[in-house]
Amino acid sequence: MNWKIIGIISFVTAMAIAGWWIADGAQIYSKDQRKETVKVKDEIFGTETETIKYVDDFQLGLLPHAAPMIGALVLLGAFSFLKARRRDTIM
Amino acid sequence: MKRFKTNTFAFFVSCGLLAFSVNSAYSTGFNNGISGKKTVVLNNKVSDNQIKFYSKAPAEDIEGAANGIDGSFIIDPSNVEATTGTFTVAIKSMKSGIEMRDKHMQGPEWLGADKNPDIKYVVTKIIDVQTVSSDKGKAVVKGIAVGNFFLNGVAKEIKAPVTITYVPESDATRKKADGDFVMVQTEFKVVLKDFNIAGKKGMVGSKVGDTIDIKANLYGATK
Repeated sequence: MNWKIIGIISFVTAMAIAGWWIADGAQIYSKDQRKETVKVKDEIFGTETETIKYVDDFQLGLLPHAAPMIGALVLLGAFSFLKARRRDTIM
Repeated sequence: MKRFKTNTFAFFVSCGLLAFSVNSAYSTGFNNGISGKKTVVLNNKVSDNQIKFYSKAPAEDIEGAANGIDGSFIIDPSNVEATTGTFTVAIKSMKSGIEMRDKHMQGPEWLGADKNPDIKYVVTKIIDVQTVSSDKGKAVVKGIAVGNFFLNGVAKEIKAPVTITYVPESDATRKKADGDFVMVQTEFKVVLKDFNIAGKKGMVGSKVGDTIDIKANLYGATK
């Protein structure tokens, strides 16, 4: 088994997940819905109010998704590199 | 006998005048020339009725909204103090962006939606009413709504500052709905422990604020 490749893939995937998490707003908790704020200008009342709408859109948060996934991938990557190093030493 | 009748008549007239003057002294209106009791029913055609809620806690801030709002109130534009009404919010319409959290919020440890599906506010009067503006029928008053807030099977009196805008029916309003339009805006706080809401152990105060801030924009039309 090529442990080096597994290690590289694990670290790259972990970094990709971290990038996705940052791109989704670096939130603590994953969300199923995205908040949309709509500004409504009411000519009759002469007011401008904000209405919140939630639309289905998954946003990756640290919990319960990103942190365990990144953690597991980093561990797998580290383990893979150790394995590859040990194999190189033996050979 | 004649004198007795005259005195009795004078007494009743005085009582009537006194009652009128007392009523006048304690009634504040929109000063828009409209009087008489009007029943206002919340109507999304006027504009979207929405209540927003905010929780601030060390672990996270939660923001959400509810659209399942119903209610009606009786208002006399010449005597806003006498306003009475009932507003309800369906707990299952409350959204915070995380479906799992919304389900927990509806559960028995939090809002108990199965036993008490609605949050209710029954307004009994409005105090400290002040006319803010009155122009061509459109008028704004500010005051403090006094009423009982029903949550999780517990009723507690809550005073909520309100701004009420009254717009008489016109060609512009008729494009949306019939009747005079009324907008009620309010902001107040709800202390969770006042309504026996403890949540899961240790969550109130760390992940959920002890106090929930409420902001509401309510729109209705007269029947």
